[in-house]
Amino acid sequence: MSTDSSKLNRIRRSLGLETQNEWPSVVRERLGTYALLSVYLVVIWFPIYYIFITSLKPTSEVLSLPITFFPQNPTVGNYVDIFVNRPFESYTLNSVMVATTTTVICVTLGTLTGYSFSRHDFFGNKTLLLSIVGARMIPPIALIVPFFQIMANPPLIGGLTGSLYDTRLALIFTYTFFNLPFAVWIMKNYFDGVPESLDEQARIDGCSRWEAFFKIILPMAKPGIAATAILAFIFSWNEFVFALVLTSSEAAQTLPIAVSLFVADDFVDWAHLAAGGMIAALPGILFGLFFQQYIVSGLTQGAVKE
Amino acid sequence: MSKVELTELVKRFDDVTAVDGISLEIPDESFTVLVGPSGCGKTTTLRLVAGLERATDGEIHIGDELVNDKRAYERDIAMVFQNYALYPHKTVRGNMRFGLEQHNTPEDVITDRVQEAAELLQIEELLNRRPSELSGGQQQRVALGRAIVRDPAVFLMDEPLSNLDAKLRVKMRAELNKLHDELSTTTVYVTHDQVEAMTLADQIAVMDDGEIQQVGAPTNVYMNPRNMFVAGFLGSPSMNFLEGTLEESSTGKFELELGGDTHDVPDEFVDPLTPYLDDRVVLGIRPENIALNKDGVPANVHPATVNVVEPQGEKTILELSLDTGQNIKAAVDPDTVVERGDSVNLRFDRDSLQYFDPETGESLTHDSKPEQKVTPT
Repeated sequence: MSTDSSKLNRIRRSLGLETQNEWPSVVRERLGTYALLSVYLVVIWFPIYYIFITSLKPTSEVLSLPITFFPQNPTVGNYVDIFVNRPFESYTLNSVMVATTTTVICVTLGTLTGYSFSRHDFFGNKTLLLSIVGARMIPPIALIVPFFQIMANPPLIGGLTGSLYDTRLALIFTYTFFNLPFAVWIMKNYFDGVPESLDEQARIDGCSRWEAFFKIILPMAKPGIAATAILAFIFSWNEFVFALVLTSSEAAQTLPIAVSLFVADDFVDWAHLAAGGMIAALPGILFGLFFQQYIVSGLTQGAVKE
Repeated sequence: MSKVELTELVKRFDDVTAVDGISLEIPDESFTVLVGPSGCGKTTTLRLVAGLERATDGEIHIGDELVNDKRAYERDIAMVFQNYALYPHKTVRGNMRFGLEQHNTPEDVITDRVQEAAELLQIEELLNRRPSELSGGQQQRVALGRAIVRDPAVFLMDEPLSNLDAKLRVKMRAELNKLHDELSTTTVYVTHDQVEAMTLADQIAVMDDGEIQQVGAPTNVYMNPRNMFVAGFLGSPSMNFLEGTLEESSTGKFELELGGDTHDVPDEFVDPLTPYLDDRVVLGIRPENIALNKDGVPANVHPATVNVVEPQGEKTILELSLDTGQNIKAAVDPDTVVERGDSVNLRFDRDSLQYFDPETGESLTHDSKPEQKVTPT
């Protein structure tokens, strides 16, 4: 089929019959694939597009019919409003602090723990790994009451008093609890794919075990680290239910909660909600675009023996 | 340069004994090959010398120094791994420099050594590439280069050629030989490939079941194996074993009764075999020491039928069944005209016979032949 059409093209060209605006043959042969992917792209991007245009419309236009797919009077007023009339800088800061701290903790502990599980065959190794990963299999919502109680009345250490309710620390603890098992698991699998002879070669070359890890193994683990980081970051950035239960003010509330606050009993402030939504979505999208090249290799490393 | 000495070395992993009390002297500047089937403990032995495993018992000396409690990098060794273990994120130069940098070698020395080793191995133009951009053979050279720049007392090599294709393997084997001639660094080399072992070694140590079965110059071990394991392991196709009862004939000669066929024992073996009279004995004969005798000179031939003919170029391997029912392999000249189903007479080269105790597998004739001294080349 493809040879036939290319032959046909050659004949056409030699006869001077070539049409100028013909599609490349790749596109023509895979027209179905392209069509399907285009539909899919529209489906997944439309909500984001819709939020984006809504965030640029004044409230009057948002509520008027028929719906306009291009803002008639585009304005950045909504964005200004949410920072002026609402403490969006606090929400954003909370989100950034909580998500990055959680990510740093998960990557650091996950990398070290994963490496230990991968390299050391200590007693109880498998059971311990299974129980760490298994803890994550419990639906988070089932743990919401214990988490609330622990954060509201944390076990007292050394006579310290105080509640972690409505603090960033509560969210960081919680998100680390949920993400660390994944981090350990991903990193363990990743290190399993790095031949142990590299550690050994490093030791022969004059490294201690720590040096071998930092100088040789860690630089090779960047894709695994990136995958772990992006999963932990996006989970923490997007998490809603625990943030809703464990926080109550701008001291700790994150962007997803802030956005939901535009929904009142009898009125939804769509325009400002959309602007808040854009603010909330942007870092995740950028972070994802930047790290996506690592995700697949990080997650699939070790799946195939070379 | 140093000799390496292993004394009563034991390594246990939980309840598995990988190395079971081996003693071995690896002379200075020698190329010693540990050879054996997989799981025989040869790699564990090498890793014990490297310091990657801790000995359960016994002593390891490198030079005159007891190194049991020394870390790998304090032992002045360099190792080449089967998978080369090149650092993928470093260039070839970075790989070769790393060990020297870790030992705080002055910059000008590092540069010189890397340059020298690269010239020696003809990898100068690869110095700025990363391992993933190299072919298997080139990676192998880099791994060797990384060992050479360290200028260690001992090279340890763990099946370094087994990831190469057959042709390249032969080539690198020759280069390893040449390299050892030039550098004269004491080398301990592990392989399961008996051809590699035979061609490279000054001294060969055949291992099985965590124990050293025999140590010696390769030809000597090949010609004069201590037991059936060594006899069967070295050589391809491997030695034929025929079991029979040792009897004394009416003329006072010894004969091995093979179940319908008899084999006359040469006179020089009468003494060592006397205790086994009327007992079971295994005759060992290598395929290349069996000749076809189609015309059928009556004395000392063994009638057989050809089952399979495998021409291999420089020789032809025949699989035959003796009339006694035992199967046997013979390596004959490629121009031998023979077909499946042919009846032939086999003649065993009487200078190449071995006799073994079927119970213990020990050679009964081993001590009657002189031991060759190992001299490093």
